[in-house]
Amino acid sequence: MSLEASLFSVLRSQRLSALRRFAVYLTAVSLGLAICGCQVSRVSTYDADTDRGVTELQQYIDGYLTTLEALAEKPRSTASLRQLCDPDQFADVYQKLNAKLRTLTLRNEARDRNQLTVDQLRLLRENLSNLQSQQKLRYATEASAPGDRCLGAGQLQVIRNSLEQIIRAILTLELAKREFREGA
Amino acid sequence: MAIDVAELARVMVGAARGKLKKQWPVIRAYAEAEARKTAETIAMIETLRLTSAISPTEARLLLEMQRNSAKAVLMTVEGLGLLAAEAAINAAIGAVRTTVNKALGFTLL
Repeated sequence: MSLEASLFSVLRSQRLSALRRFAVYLTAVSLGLAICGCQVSRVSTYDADTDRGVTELQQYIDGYLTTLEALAEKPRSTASLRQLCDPDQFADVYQKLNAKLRTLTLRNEARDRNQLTVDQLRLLRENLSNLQSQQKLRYATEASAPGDRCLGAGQLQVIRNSLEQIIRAILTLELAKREFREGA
Repeated sequence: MAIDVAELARVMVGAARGKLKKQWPVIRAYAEAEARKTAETIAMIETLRLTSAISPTEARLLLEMQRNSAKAVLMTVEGLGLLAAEAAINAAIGAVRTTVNKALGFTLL
């Protein structure tokens, strides 16, 4: 019988309060974990390169969305929009974004106990691919004015909200890996 | 010197509770703020569709994006919970380190 099981057995027989049981359980678990290695850790350590890399990615995405938002603000009849909103114009943007994301993902896959961050980076990549699909879809749609082939302002607001929410989630978790452990 | 289990447990629970008390509000504030933002974004998608600013296919793609974002938020909440639990357990161990090591006569913790 394990130390925990023995302790619980004794506590039950003595009909101690739930709080007291919890206290002794915590003691037993902590001592057990301590014997195994003193510090408990189920999430990877903080990584400054990931923090920096995701922040750079955020700046790049922000710049790209600002460009698309500027196009959405132009009068729909502006003839140049037909060319400016052509998805092919932005192929290099996606190439750069995907390359940066691949580098970040590889780095994070190599880090121990880091599946949450790896999965979050995968979701960000899916959302960027989704953005590109929406651009292609909108551009291919029958349009009465050149600007109708561009993503709309409202649509871009939703896209911005979604992308920023994922990036904020990744950064919040990465920073917590450092901050929750400060003074530990 | 014999270890007083009850006293040890009291100190450990106190240390763990202190950590959780400090970190739980951070997790809660984050989760609540992001849940509100998710709700607002879904409402925006509905408005865009109802005003025909987007097609049904575009609405579906936007919802997929938002679903992914919500998943990422839940992963962060999970991670914050694990980190808080980790900090609480480590605080509990730290709080009794000196007492236990002294009682045993060697460095266990």
